[in-house]
Amino acid sequence: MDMLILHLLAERDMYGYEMVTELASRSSEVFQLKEGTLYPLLHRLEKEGSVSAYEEKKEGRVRRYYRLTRKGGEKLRERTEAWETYSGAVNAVLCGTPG
Amino acid sequence: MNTNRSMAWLREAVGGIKYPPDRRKVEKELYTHIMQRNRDFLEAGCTERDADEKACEAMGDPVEVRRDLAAIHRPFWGYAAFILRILVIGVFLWALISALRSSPRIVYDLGPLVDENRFTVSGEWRSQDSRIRCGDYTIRLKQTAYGKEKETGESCLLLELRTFTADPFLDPLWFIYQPVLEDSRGLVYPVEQSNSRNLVFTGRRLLFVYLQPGADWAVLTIQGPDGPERLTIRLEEGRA
Repeated sequence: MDMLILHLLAERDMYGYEMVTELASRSSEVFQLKEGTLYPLLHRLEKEGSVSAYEEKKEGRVRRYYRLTRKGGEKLRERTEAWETYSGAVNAVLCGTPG
Repeated sequence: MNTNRSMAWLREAVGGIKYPPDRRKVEKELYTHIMQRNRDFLEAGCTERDADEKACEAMGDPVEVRRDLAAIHRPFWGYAAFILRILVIGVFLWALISALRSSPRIVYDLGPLVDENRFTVSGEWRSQDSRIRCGDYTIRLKQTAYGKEKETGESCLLLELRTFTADPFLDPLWFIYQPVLEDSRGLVYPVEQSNSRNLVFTGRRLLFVYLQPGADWAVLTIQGPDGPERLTIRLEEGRA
């Protein structure tokens, strides 16, 4: 899940609700996580320095936006590479072709 | 909008965060989210009660969220950051006070202002507490003593006044305009101004009067911006 969140933030700064709806719509409702569980994840990423947060008032509401940091960008690259290796290996097994 | 269940969900979810500023911050963020979810369900045609229930359901198990949030927002780090902030402010204030103390414009000599080459103080300083308001200043009679002028041998009454102002743009050492002293017998004396010292927001000034002996009390009159102001001075029996 870290990788998906970091990937969304690599595109633009987002607030929690926006991330949840974006994940659901892009995955054709496959990733319908329980929304409250997103926040411990975001706060952990913030604490480890992968994202930073700031508040902004839009449409009369103050929202807490998250932004990908350089450290978060490096983490995303590592996770994406690991995922590609892993999914390639799974596909190779399922399709019966050597990796 | 009926949000009773949402509020209960929120309270449960953030209840494990023990450091209050962190708890308020997370609560605000989750509140914005759950209210947005409520509005979306209402717009989709749900009743208020249904929207409230569905929003809680979408948020997940509050106990699980509580546990995860509490693990991240540990009170130790919150309080450690708070103590660090206090220490930084303390060090800054200490540095500021040290800088002020070393400034040559500020004198911290709190002893009497008497010029020992000119006067001899006879007896003890007698504490007084009489004050008046003069424009932007408060003038307080702090203490009095009897003395003698060394050159002429004349007896005099020494008065120490403190002037205070809360306005940082004003000189705390306010000049005492046209001071006149009248004793209990109706005798009027001119008052002379001697040494002065400047403190932070406070000025100290020494006045002296060649007072005839035998008075029980005296009144010092000062010209303020709103007219004459009077300070009463108690005198020791059998002295001046």
